Amino acid sequence: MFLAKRVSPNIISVVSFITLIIFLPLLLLAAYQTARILTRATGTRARITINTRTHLEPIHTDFYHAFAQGGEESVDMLAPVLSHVKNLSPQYIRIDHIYDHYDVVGKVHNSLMFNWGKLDETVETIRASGATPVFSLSYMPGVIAKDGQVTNAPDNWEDWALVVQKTIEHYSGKSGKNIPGVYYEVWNEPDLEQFGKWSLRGDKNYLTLYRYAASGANSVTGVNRFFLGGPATTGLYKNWVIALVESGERLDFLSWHSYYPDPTRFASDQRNVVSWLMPYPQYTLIPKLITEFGFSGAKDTRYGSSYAAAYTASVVRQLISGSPTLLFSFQLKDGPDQESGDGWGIITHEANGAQPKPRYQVYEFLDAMKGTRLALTGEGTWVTGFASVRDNTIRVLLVNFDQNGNHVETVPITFENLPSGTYTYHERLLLGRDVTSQETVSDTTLTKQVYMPAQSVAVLELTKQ
Amino acid sequence: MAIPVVVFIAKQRQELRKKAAPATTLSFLPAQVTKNVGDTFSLEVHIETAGNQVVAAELHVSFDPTVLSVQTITNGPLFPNILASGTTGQGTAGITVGATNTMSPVSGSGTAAVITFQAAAKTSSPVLVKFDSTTFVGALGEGSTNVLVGTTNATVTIQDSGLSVGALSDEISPTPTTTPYLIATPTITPGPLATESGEASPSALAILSPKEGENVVTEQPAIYGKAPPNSTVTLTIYSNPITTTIIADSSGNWTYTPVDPLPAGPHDVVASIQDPSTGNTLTSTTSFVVPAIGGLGGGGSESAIPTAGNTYSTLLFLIIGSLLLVFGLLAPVVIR
Repeated sequence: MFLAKRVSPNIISVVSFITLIIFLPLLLLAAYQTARILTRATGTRARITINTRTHLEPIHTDFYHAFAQGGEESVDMLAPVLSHVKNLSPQYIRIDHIYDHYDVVGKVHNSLMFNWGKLDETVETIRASGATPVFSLSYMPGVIAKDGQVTNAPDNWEDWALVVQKTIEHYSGKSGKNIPGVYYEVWNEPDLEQFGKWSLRGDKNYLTLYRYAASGANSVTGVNRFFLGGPATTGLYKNWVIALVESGERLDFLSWHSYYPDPTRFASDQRNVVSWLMPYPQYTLIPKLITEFGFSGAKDTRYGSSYAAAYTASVVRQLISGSPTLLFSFQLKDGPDQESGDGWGIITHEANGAQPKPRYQVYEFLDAMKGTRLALTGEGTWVTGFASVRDNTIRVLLVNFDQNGNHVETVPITFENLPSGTYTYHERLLLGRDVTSQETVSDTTLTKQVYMPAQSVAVLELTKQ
Repeated sequence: MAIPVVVFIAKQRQELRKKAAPATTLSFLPAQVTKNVGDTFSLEVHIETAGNQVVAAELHVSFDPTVLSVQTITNGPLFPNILASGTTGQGTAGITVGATNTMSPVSGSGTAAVITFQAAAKTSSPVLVKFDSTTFVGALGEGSTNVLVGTTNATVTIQDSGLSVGALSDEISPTPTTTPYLIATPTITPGPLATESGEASPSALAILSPKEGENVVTEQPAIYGKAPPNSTVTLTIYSNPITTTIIADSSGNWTYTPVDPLPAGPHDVVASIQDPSTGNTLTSTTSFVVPAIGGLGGGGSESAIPTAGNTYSTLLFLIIGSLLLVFGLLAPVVIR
C-alpha cells in the first residue's frame, strides 16, 4: 500500500523485472552449487582386497597405445616431436584432414590426379615412430566437393569412390607403401556441424558416403589386408551403428569418439555396443575402435595436469577387461598458440618447448600391469583399480580420479591368500613417491595403507623373496 | 542320376533345418552345491551348442543377494574373448564372451564363463542361481535369432559353519573342472584366520579420537588412542604428511597434538605399530575435517568427504534467492 501510493505500478513492474534479471543468475548459480555439493558429498571410500589365488583372464596392454592427431596444422605435425612419440610405443596413430590439408587430389582436364608427397611425409613420420597409420578418410577433396566445400558431398559420387580406392592402393598396395593392417575410417565426426552435419537420410546421407567409400575399397587390387569402417561419430549412437550394420556394405570395424567426464561410461558403452550387435552375429566380433577419447571435447588446461593422467588411467581401468580393440588418446601434440596450456596434446607444441605433459607418463606406467588379472574387490567412488600377477610379482594399480574436485583418500589394501614368507613391497606413484619395504607374512594376509593424493595413480608391487 | 539328386536335396534340407534350428543350452556346473557360511566357491557356466555355430554369448545371472555375493565373473576356455567386461552387483552378474573370430565359431560343449561366489548366510532351503531371460546366444546362419533354447539353474545350500569344510565338500557333485583361466580358490576357513588379520584389532591399536569423519573444533586437534603398553606408535597425518612417533604409556594410552595448526579441509591419519611377534605392521586409520577459520567451533555437519563448491557462498545465494522469491510472491499482493 505504501509503495502503491508513491510509485506507479509500471515502475514497480520494471524494477521487479530488472531485479529478477540481476538475481536470477545468482539463484541459478546457487542451485548449481547445491547440486554439486549434494552429489559430491555422497560416495564410497575404497577398501581394496586382492585375492592372490583367484586368477582371471590375461591383461592386454596394447589397446591403449593408440593415439590420434588432429589437424590443427596442415604440416607434418609429429616430426618435431618424433622422439617423444617413439617413447610412447605407439601401435597405431590416427590422422584426419588427409584430403584437405595435404593437397592430395587435383583435377586436370576433368581427370583426377593424385599427389601423395606431402601426406607421405606425415605417414613416414608415423612409421618412424613404430606405429601403423590409421586414416580418417576426410574431408571431401575440394576439387570434387559441391561448391568446393570440403564438408560437402561430391558432385559425382564415383569420384569419391575413386579417391578412396587410390588411397587404399597407395598405402596398403603391395606396389605402393605396402603397409599391412591399415585402418581406413570413413570421415571424422560426420554428425558434427563443423564437419558437415551428415545424417542417415537426405542429401548428406552418411550411408551414401560410406557406400561409395566401400565401393572404392572393393575395387582395389594387389593390396595387403586392410580394414574399412566407421561411422566415427562424436559418440556411440545406436541408430548410426545399426544403420551401418544393416546397410550390407563392407564393414570391417566400428568406430566412434568418446568425450565423457565419467570413466565408467566407457565400460557401459562397451556393453551396449556388444549387446546391440548380438542379433547380428556376423558383426558381433568385428573390431571396435574408440578413435578419439578424452574428458572433454573442448580445450582445457586440465589436459596439462595430473587430472588428465589420472583420467586416462581410470578409463583404462574401466576397459581392462572387455576392452575395445583400440583406444586412441586425443591428441599427441598441441596445436600452435597454446601457450595458455589448454591444448589437448600429450606433448606441447614445439613453439612451447615440445615438452611432455603429465599424461605422457601414464602409458608406460600402466604397462607394468601386464600379466594375468587377479580378483580385486572393494573399489570406491573415487579410487578404483585392478590387480595382476606376472613373474612371481603381484601388482595393484590404483587410481584416485575425482572428476569434480580434489578428493584425497587413504586406502586400506589387503592381499589375501599369500604364502608365508618375506616379501618386498614397492609402492610408487606416477610422478610421486617411490618407497620400498620388507614385509613378513605369517597368516596369509598383508594389509597396507596407501595414501592417494588428488588425481593420482599408483602401482603397488609385492614380490616374495 | 536320381540318387545323387535325392542325396543333394536331402543334404540341402538338412542344412536348412540346421540353420533354422536354435538348439543351444546353458547350465551350471556343479548343478548342486552345499557350502558353509563364509566359503568361496565357483560355478562354471556350461554351454552345449548342439550344432549351432556360436559367436558370442551375453550371459545374465541372478541369485538371492541375502545369501550369496558374487566376487568375480570371467570367461571360460571355450570363449577366449571377453567382449564386455563382467559386471557384479547385488544379486546379479553378467558378462559377454565371444569366439576368437567368425571364422572359428564355437561348436560343441564346454565352459563359457566362471563365476565365483561367497556364501553369505545360511539358507533354510536350497536357493537358485539362474539365467535371466535377457541372456542371448548369437550364432552364424541363424540371423537375429537367440539360439538359446534351454537353461538349467543351479541350487545352492548354505549351512552354518559348525561343520568342517572338508566334510561338506564331499557333498559337492560333480567337482568343478579346473580351467586354465581359473585357479581354484581355496576355501577360507571361518574364524579368526578369515578376518583381515593384517589389520590391528581394536584392542591392539586403535585411534579413539578424532572419530571417522569428525569435524574437529580446533586446528590442533588432539589425536589419541590405544596400543600395546609401552609400544612405539608411528603417526602420519596427511595430506602434507606430518610423521611422528609416540610411546604408549604402561596402560597403552597414547596422544599427540599437532605442533602447528593444520590447514582447513580433510585430513587422514594413519597410526602404525610393529607387531613384535610376527613382524607385521599393524595399522589403524581415521579421517577428520578441520573447518575453515570462520567455521571453527561451529560444529558444522560436513562429512570427511571433500566437497566441491563453497558452502557459505551457496547458502548466501540461497538466502538471497529465497528472499527474492518471497518478494516476488508478496509484492503484487502488497502493491494492490
